[in-house]
Amino acid sequence: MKKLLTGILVFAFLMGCQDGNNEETQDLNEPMQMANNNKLNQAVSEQADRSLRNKNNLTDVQVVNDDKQLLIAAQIPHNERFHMKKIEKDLTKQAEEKFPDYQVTLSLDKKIHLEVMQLKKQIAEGSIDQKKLSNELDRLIKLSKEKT
Amino acid sequence: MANNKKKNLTPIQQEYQQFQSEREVKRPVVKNCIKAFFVGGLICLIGQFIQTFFIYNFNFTEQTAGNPTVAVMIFIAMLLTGFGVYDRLAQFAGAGSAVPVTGFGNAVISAAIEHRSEGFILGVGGNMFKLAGSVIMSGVFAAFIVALIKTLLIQWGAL
Repeated sequence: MKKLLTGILVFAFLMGCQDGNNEETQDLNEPMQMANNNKLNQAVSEQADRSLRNKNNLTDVQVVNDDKQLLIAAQIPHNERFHMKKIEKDLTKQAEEKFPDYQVTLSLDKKIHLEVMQLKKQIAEGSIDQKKLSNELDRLIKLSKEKT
Repeated sequence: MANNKKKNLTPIQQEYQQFQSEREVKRPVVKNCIKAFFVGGLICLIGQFIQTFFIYNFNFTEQTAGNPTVAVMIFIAMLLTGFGVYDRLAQFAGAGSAVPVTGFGNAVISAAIEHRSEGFILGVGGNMFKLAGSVIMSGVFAAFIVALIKTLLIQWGAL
């Protein structure tokens, strides 16, 4: 019985570690460099990234945009998670004021952050086109608004 | 025992109370609290691992990953109860294993096991929620009251 319990614990622990390592391998603190010859224009995203990083205490910001929508996925220091709603509101307001032409969606969710990082990687590699990007953005925005 | 209750007892009973309280084994409250704290924390840690697993490998956000996590935790607790592991853990940790959601799974399955000999319908089916039923009932009732208060506050424009 003890063995079974230990087995489950070790399994859960290893699962967690494995996932954590994947994330660590990517550089979190530097905005990902976008290729200049890329067709998809991510200048707005980089601008949003820089301005949000400078003004706020955030551990990471990842931004993607298409021609209408801007999706910002930010991560805050763990001890500030108690004020998550307020921070989310403030950041959204900042971004909306700075980019009034775009439909801004901001999320502090870990999942959205992961997905946006993946999307940025795809953009940098050039393995995604405009239509796919828009679809993916729609999917992520819908996901970020899901409650149950 | 409270003083006004003591007055109603006969001298012999009072003497016995005195005798009993001197020899009674003291409950190790602090030790129990520490055990409950750590085992309860460990259960939550496992829950956190499962939640992270769901976030990384499935299409769940931090908000939505809670539901499958709770389901998995209850399921694990049910299996462990069936194998007789959870009882030993509960013996050691007390409230630390009863207060988290896993305690709910334990309450359901232990009642089912206990009444297995009375048949499936009247035994298992009828008694499964004997203990857990009160948990569900108070949860639903509390949710109702909170929702009522919130609705009223919104109607009055306070929120």
